[in-house]
Amino acid sequence: MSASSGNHSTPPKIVFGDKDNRKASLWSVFLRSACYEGRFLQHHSWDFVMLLWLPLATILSIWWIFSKPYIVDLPIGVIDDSRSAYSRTLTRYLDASPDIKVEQLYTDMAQVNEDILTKKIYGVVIIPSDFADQINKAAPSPIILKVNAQYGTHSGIIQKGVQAVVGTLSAGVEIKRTVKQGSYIEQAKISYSPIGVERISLFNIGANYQQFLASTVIPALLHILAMIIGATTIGREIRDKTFSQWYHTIVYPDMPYPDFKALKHLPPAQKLAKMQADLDASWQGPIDYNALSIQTFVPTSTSSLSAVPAPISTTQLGQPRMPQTVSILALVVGLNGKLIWALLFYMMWAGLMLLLAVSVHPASAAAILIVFAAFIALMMISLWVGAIFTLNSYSLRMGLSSTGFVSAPSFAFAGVTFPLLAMSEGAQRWANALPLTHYLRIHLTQLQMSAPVSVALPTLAGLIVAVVVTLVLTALLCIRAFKNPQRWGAR
Amino acid sequence: MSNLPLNPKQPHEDNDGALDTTQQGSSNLHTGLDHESSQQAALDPAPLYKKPLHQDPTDDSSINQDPLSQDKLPSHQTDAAHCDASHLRAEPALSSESKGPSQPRSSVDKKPTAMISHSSFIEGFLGTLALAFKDKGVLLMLIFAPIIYGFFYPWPYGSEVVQQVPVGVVDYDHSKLSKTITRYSDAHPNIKVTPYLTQTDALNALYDEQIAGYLIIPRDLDKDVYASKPAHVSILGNNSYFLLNKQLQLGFTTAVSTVSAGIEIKRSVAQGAYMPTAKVSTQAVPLRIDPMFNRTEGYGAYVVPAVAILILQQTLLMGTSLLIGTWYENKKQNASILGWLGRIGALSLITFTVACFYYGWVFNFQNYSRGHNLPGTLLFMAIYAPTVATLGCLLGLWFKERERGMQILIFSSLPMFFLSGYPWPVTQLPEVLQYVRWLFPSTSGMNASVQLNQMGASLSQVSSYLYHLLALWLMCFILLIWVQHRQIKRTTAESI
Repeated sequence: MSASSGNHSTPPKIVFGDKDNRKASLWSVFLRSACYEGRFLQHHSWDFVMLLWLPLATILSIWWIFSKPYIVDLPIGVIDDSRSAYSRTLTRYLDASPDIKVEQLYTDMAQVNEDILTKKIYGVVIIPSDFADQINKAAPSPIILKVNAQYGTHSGIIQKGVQAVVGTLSAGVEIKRTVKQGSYIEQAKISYSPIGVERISLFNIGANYQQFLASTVIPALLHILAMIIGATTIGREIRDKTFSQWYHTIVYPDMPYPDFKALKHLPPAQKLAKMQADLDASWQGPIDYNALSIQTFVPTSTSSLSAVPAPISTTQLGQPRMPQTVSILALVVGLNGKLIWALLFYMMWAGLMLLLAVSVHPASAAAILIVFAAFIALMMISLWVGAIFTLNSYSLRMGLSSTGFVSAPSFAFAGVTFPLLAMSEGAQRWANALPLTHYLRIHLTQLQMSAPVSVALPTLAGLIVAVVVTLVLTALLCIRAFKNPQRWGAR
Repeated sequence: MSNLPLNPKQPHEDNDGALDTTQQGSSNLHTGLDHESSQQAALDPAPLYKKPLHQDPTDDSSINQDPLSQDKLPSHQTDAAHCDASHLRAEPALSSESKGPSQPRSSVDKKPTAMISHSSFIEGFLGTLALAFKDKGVLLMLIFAPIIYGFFYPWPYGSEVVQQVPVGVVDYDHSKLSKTITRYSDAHPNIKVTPYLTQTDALNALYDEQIAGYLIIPRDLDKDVYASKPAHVSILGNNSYFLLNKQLQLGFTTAVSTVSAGIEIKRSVAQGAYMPTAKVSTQAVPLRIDPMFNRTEGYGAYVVPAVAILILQQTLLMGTSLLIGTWYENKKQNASILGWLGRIGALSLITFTVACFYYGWVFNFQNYSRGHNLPGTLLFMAIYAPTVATLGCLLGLWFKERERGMQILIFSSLPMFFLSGYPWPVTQLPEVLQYVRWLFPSTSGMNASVQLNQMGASLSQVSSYLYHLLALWLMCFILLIWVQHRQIKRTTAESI
């Protein structure tokens, strides 16, 4: 560790891959960074929860919420003023429809309103008193559905169900009428509707909500969690001013790892001082970089101490000691090592997510593979964007705020529940800037629509480019952070 | 690094560039120890790290108006005088080293009750209110975030109804009839037609998401229809997107039925029926749908009023746990029962005000159904906000760190939304989850608010939700006091 540098007025020199400065192979930098983070995670259960229990609970609970994937038996009421054979048939048909059930027969509207406001029923079918007479007179005999449209999902299903039932009844009445007029039943069917309509819902045939919502909400939630992990993993080092400590630990192969167990209960502001105090005195001394030509770092001897006045001042404890030079290559490799646990865990969650998705709707191996690749790209983008948010503001809190602001509503913008093309131009532009939108496009076309793999390739390439861009941006912001250590520690 | 202040009394530049008296006091107290410890610094690093108390970014400590606040330290500090208590808790072994020289100063400390930083309602209320406006993090979470979301969240739903969905028509018939069907379809507001030559072309366009579905008009449709043979067209909609599929199915069905009805009328008239009779009998039982409350059936008008309540809950939870977590780090988290009520009152007041912005302005601006039972809505919010704030305090004591609440809570909005019974019918939930959902205030909050404000229910019609919120509040408050009691007991036990 270089106590000799870190002067705020002379920021560290930035080099690309300077091996002399690194004192370790890139592989060792990667491993040491992973070890550093692994030791941290061992003792910080909240951060570990973000990798293991929270995503696991999220995936399973979302899947469980939609475990009855077809909406059935929504309660409606019926006001039957007609009390005829026709109206009783209609009521029976309504009750038999899988979408709805007739909760109660009402006689007055006041009671209906009361039950709609308390949500005992979500709609009411009103059969007027002249219903049967009108049918017998061969006149149109309208019925009314009043539905609670504030509860949009409920309302949509009820409308669909009632429409189907009324359509069936209407067709029956007409065919019967034509038959009575002397036609054959076959002919009656045709003349009732000269052009028949065959309505086919592709891909998700029965409106399976597990396939529609659960399978798309899970990646959205994992995206949020990954962004938070990216923000906290880098952001806490800035908050605790231990960012350079981390950098030193990964580039010097024999520097001891911090004692995270002891650091656990310290408030953030005291962590750096404790870390520095735990280090052997030899690490507190300045480093003679010119003398360092060997791989392994050897602390400078006492003789070189004399070159620098005041080897260690008490006031310097708790102040980050900056490296003299920062290697971009080491930084990039180190950042990847630091986040490797998150990536490995989320690869596992990708597997679980795909397993669940495929269990309701089979997909080809190529499709599964491409969705997996796209999901990993999404996770990497999320991690880096989270890191970018904290590094940009030098504050973990601000980074988390921005993360929440961008990621929490990203599902609403992704175009699954409310289509992209219906959004305003600005909202569409925002939606297209979000990685989730593009990932979900691959997810839906490959897993549900069984589209050819070639359709997803351009989007996948775009996601991979975004991974590289965000990684480079993160590294650049890390360098900026090394140049501005006075801004570390903001809450 | 060499330009760092050597004099420990020289205050560091903290976030706000200002230090309050409390901090300076502690810096001064440290001076004595610094001299003692600096001599052994090179040999023993342990005492050194006791220094950095004066680096705490303490935007919050300034709210403690009491000049004696330095004395209001936990009792276990009597052993170690002015050394920062948190070291001692984490590292009891190290604390013993400083015991000797600092023993005489222990006289400034008080008995355990001194741990309470807010002991009266007014103190808690004003202290919290003052800090909420002073701490940028709390201010952002409690006030700015919900206001920004008030604009941001309804943004994608601006158009409310989905129209002009791009669809395809594959016309194998090329007859006058098939052209009529295409024209009628294109004229329907729901859909916008692009012709495709073959079904493969249309399917590829569907995979590319250029179209949401297509209509197939088979060869000889025209011939079959006029020969009174059975004939049909097929609508294929991509049901990976429910809303798009619904709109395009409706658009195509209406268009085809209109054409079909025209043929039927012509045929009946040809068979000798009067034109008016033929017209009315095309549909024996028409259905008139009358949407209540959300009369235009807008998507935003359906989602946003409920999500607004969730946004208020999430920002208040995060803001509160941020505040309490910060106090915890600075050992200021404890308060008397009245002090806690004051804090909760202050936090609730802020959220109540922001809620008024939603009820009075956002819903108005977006032209959603609103304001049907305003007194009821306000009473509801007066119960909802404290319940959420109390839960936030509890979470703050649990998380113990400023940023922790945000880290853990950000993702939770979507699961809470789906569990509430608003977008997804309660009866569809597994039975266990039908109970689990009552752990969140949002479950009652979203339903009660929508029923009162959007649907105009009376208070008695939502009373069960209000009772649930009150019960939840009471439970959280008792837990809060119990957790604080346990934490005080543990710290006291550790310091002995």
